[in-house]
Amino acid sequence: MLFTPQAMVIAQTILVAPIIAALTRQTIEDLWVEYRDELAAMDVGPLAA
Amino acid sequence: MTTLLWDARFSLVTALLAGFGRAAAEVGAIIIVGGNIDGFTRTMTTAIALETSKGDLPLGASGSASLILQYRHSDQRAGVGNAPRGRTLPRDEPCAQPPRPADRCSSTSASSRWRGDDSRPHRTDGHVWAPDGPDRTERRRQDHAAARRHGSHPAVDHGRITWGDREYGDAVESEQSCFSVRSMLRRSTARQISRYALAAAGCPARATRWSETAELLALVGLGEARRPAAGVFRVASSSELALARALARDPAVLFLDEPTASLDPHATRQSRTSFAP
Repeated sequence: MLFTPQAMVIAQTILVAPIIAALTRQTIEDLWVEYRDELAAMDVGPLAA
Repeated sequence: MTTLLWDARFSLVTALLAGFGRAAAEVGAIIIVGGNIDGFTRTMTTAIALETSKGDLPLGASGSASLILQYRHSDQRAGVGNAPRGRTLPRDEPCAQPPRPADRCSSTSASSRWRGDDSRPHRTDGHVWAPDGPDRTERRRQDHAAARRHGSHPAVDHGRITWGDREYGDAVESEQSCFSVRSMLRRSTARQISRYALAAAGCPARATRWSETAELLALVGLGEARRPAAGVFRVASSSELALARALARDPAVLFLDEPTASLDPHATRQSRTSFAP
């Protein structure tokens, strides 16, 4: 497995995934705080919200 | 989930570009798993590191320069995507409450609300509607309590609602609240927001939804103002839009709490006539 392109892809993925996940979570959470009242008022379910 | 993802799409592109930048500039992780085999696992960064340590500085430097150019390009693109988020608007403006229908609601003056007047509507399923403070603290407290009881989805508990002698029992399927926070109005146009509300209310056909949207906006007097983003609306227009959004659910009962607050006299008169001509 070592010394193959696949190994490098996996390594890069492990490296980058937490960064993207953290940034995405932060963005979505900020937006959720803004939107939750209105989405609840329109009775939008968790999946469609 | 989908609404949030769609509205956050620019920020999400920024996050992806940040991740790409991190991956493109990585040397260590590639070296650890055995990168830098010429023509097989050699990447730009490992090539630069190798050429530099070999002493071939011009090649290393040119590689670095092209990488930096790439990086700056992705940063600039991220900056463009981020720009609309920077605009700040006043949150919690006490507006956006639609006008009061004279025939349905008895007038509840602010003072009687504070004295704990029993004529105000209350739910009979255990929790009473408490008067809301000027900074909406009570509403927030109740919302949070409801969220704790019902998971993450506050304020949609369907209780029985009574008003005076009348009781709006199980008939009140489409209870609708109307919030003064203008957050969602920020990025979309009035038409998009009304259409979203209609879709959320279960308006079925895609084709009729456009005509329903136009009808709804004309009803609240926003027929002309469909184009600009709702973030730049006047207070009066955003309260009309909030009313349109509430009416999209075709509610049996509409509770309006100081709907013309923070409107000037002209807008107050206009919103009254737009609601009950």
